[in-house]
Amino acid sequence: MTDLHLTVNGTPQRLSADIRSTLLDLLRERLGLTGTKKGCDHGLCGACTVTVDGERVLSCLTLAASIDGAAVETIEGAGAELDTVQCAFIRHDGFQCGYCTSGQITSARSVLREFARGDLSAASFDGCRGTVTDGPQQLSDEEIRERMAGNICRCGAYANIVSAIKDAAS
Amino acid sequence: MKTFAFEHADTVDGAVRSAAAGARYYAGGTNLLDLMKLGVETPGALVDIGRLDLGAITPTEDGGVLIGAGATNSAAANDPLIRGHYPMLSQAILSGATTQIRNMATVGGNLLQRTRCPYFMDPSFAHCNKRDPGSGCAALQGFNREHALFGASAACVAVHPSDMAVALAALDARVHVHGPDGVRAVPIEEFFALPGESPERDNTLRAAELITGIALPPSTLARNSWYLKVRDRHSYAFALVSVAAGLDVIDGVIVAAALALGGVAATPWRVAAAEESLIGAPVTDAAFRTAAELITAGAAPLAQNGFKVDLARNSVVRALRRAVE
Amino acid sequence: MTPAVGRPVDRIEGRDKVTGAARYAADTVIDGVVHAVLVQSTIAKGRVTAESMAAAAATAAAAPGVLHVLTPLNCPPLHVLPVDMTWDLPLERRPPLSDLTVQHVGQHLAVVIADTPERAADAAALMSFDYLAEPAQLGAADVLGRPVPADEKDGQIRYGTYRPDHFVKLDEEKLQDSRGAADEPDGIRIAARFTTPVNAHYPIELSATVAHWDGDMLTVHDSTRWITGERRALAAYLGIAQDRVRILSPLVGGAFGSKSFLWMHVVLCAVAARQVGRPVKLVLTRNQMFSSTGHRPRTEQQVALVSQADGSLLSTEQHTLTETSTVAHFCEPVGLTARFLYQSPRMVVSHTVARINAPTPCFMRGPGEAPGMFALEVAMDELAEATGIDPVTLRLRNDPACDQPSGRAWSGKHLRDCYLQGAERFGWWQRPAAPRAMRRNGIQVGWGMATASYPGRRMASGCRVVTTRDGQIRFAAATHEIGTGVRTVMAQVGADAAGMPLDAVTFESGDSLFPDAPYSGASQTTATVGSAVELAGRQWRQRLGRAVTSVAELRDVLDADPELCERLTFTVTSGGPDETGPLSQSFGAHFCEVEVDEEIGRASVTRWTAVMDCGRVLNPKLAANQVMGGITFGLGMALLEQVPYDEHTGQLIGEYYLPTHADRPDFDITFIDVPDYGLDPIGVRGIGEIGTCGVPAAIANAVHHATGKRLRDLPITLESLLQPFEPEPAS
Repeated sequence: MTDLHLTVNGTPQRLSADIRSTLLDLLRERLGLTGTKKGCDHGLCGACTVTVDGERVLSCLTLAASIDGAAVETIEGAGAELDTVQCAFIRHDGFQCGYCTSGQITSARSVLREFARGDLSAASFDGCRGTVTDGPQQLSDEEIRERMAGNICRCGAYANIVSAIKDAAS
Repeated sequence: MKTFAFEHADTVDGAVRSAAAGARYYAGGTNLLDLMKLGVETPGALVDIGRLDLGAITPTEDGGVLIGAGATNSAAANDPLIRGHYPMLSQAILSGATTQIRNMATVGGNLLQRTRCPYFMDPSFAHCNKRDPGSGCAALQGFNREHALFGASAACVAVHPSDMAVALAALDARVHVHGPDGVRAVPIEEFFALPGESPERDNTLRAAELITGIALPPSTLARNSWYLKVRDRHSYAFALVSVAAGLDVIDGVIVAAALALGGVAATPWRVAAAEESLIGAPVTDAAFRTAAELITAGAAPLAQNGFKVDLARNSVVRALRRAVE
Repeated sequence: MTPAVGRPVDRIEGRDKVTGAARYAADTVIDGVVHAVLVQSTIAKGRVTAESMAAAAATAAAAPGVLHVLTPLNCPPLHVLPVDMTWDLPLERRPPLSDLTVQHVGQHLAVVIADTPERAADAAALMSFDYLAEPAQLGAADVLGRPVPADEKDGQIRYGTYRPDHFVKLDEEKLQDSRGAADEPDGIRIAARFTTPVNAHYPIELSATVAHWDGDMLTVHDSTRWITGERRALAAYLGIAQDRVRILSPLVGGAFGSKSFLWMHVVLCAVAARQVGRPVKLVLTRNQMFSSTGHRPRTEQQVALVSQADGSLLSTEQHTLTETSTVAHFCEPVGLTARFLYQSPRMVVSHTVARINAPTPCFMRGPGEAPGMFALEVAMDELAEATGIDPVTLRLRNDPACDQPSGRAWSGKHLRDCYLQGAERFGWWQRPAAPRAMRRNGIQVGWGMATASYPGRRMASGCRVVTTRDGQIRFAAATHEIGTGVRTVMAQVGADAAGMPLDAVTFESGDSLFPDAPYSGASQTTATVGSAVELAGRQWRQRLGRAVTSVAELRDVLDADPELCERLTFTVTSGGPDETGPLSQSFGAHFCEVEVDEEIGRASVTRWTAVMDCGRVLNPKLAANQVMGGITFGLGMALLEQVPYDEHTGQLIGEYYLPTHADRPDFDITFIDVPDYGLDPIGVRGIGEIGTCGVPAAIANAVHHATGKRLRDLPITLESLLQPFEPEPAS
């Protein structure tokens, strides 16, 4: 067992946890935050996406002990008011079964932040040279799809997810 | 998974001491933790190196760049120095995995990720010399579609899955390591180990050596470079074949060239003759095709991966075309 | 008041889904829950020695935190299911953990229960067995023409091949069928062999079960889409009365055909809970999802079409070889569509099933249709090429007026409109007939099309309606919200039937205490449960006996007459379809563009037009999403998906690739939206599966149009599209 200090959705948490515990299992089984989902437990689907210190990560491949002291935000963290992305997902029906949705929304929010600060994706290299140095001017469909490609949706709500993200970006 | 001892290292020397005592380095964990869940890796102790402040990316005196081994893949790919001077490296890193994984994984860890051979990754397969020396190689007579064309042996036909490493090979990177016996710089072409009779070794690191940085010499190839990754779906899959291509072109003539293949060997695959054939050549498809044939000379396909030979050749031509666009 | 049906209402549970409040089985919070992990066989056939099983169990039992280890040596014997449950459904004849023999890789051999998930997983990993392996039959080729071993365990284990008469309990869905002359006539003939691999449903939600006993009452939270059936099967396995079992399945994270039959891990979870006297939670791992909750089995199909010079079909034959396990029946009904889809005086279909040492398969989205229409629609494309007739024109020419096997009319059919509208919207008539005629940016481009079709099915269902004093009307049935939007569209149907605004109405699902409903599959839920909801809503309005159009008004009425609440709380049952009336069948047309970059062997599906005739569309926003999802599902089947097995051992190897965000086309989805009251009073026919039917063929046909290559084996791989390296540049 190991002592962990994590700030989860703004609340400091002090936990004694199994050293083997992933952040995903810690959130779900110890803290009762079941909004983050387990889809594969091996980094293949993105359903477990949360943010750690502001950047999106896979909680199933995060050893909780290795992020001792970090700030974690889950899908529950946003508070009672729905934000632009959540409203857009509802409006555009950006889900069907809803199981991958927590990960999709967390990634979608991150996509908007990453784009705003000029981060690249593999899709950025298909544009002009300036795009690589300065970052893409526009969050195109191709950019969104590539940046979201780590979130698998078996129901295939992809088109509506992208519509929701474009709506939220505008 | 088996339980393990765990500590955070505060200094590089402290980390090396722990490793010398048997602990495994733990950074992003995106590969090691996965392999621990699968029972492929069973370390008794981990030493977490996340607090060692090894993430800086800085220009070096010779006009190159030193990437701290602790920099995340995302940080490296998006760094202005990398985007500006080594765009092929940025592109290679961004071709790998997904944003979430790139935010966690370090560049040091990227070099150390282990093969994706399914027989290696599942301990219920008895025959895997890399995981269990002497037990045989199930891929030789089994599923080998994704396996090596070059540098393999009767003991192991696995490939190294890193995209970043292929670009580093084309850019003549050097891997800085810090071990119990001091520091050294390992040229990237000497970093990975071909399987030979000891496929359990992926690389030439000595016991307890910690990667502290990756140094890139100044490059004239930035203007005309490209990383092409060919895989079974449009994103989020390992390479069947990849190509890092860089050219320096003056007045329509190639004056410098670097060409490396990924997904085809236990190390990025460079062939001097292929690059030499481009020097002095005009920028033409014919020149590209000659280089493609030379870099795939000596390919030894297995039962299921013969298509990779044509794929590699076509991909080299494609990558070189895109590099000069 | 504007009717709710037909409006693109937001999904009612949408807020929960975007805030993490949506609860699935694994999210069930129960005090004192402990964790179970399955241990499965790594060999395909043989047995585990009793000594090694006992030793492994002892090792695991001694590990930290372990409460119990369930094995064939100590598992309380489970009852064998009655024959009427196993005869024609993929329910296993042999109860789990009933002996030490192994019939497939992934067979459950033990369950470890411990206080934390980490400790349960660790203890389970400690269990290693000594196997006495026997030669396994891993594919139909290993079975055909070989001697058939005798049945074992009273017929629980069976070998060899068989030819089932009909599909599940549907007598008229004949798997061995023919009409017309005995001999194949002369004409323009297309004959080809097609294969489809094992496909996995791969819902993102891992199957999860939480079971707990309260005295003799068992409560099971399970990610199931067959609450009623699971309660029956679970009670049968455990030898208890059905009213001692409660099943809860509030939301299911995707099923696509899985999660619908009682899979062995569910009963083992219940047994484990009884043994340890604590609630037990069992979540399948992703790898276990390939072996423990069904899959689409392999098919090998021989298709032969004969037509006149003008393309009018004279003969259609489709012969299928497929596979099931040695412990359960399942026949992928590949050839059913060929019996009726095109006007063909002569027809022969047959199905042969080989029992192999592999996990039990089951229905997967478009069972039969998905692989069968792949072959049939590619064969039609080949016929179009052979006769020089446009593929759409060919289908129009062979469009039948009635269902040929039964002679019955269809209650509604707008397939011609689907073809013509789709062709127009896609720009199909600009298509050059010859392959390799279209290029863009140095890449080959092709256009392909296919017919889509899926039966309109309906079964009996109950529906309860509860009226509360604050003016809420709550419909409920033991159906399942698996992502199809049932909770939303049923509220829309109920609101309209009751004559009330949508905000007065809710629809609840997911509890076996609600009136019985059938499994959520066969695209039947809207027609089935909708009929019950509609009936309940209509009766509610009659019982109310006055015009009320708002919640506030209703509250006033209820305040004035409190007993009215009780009179407005009741249960109804609606029946199945009229067996003597017309048949219900949905139809559609798919058109797609595929770019094939032959230099690197990459196929990209760029755009897709689909026009669907599914009867009335209750909610166009949800319906379009469903069809896009179905097309994406079919795209995976065409280009990416095959469960990778080691050919020597039958073990899983490697990753199963699904389409990502980066793999799917731009979509143009249209519904004909003409109500069809032949199946149900709402006018719907179901849309969950038709989106997938025909998709792999449309893609394969587009690939042919782009490259000239006729690819008849799924998935279409990079190798098959890759052009050889040219040392000299192409001149």
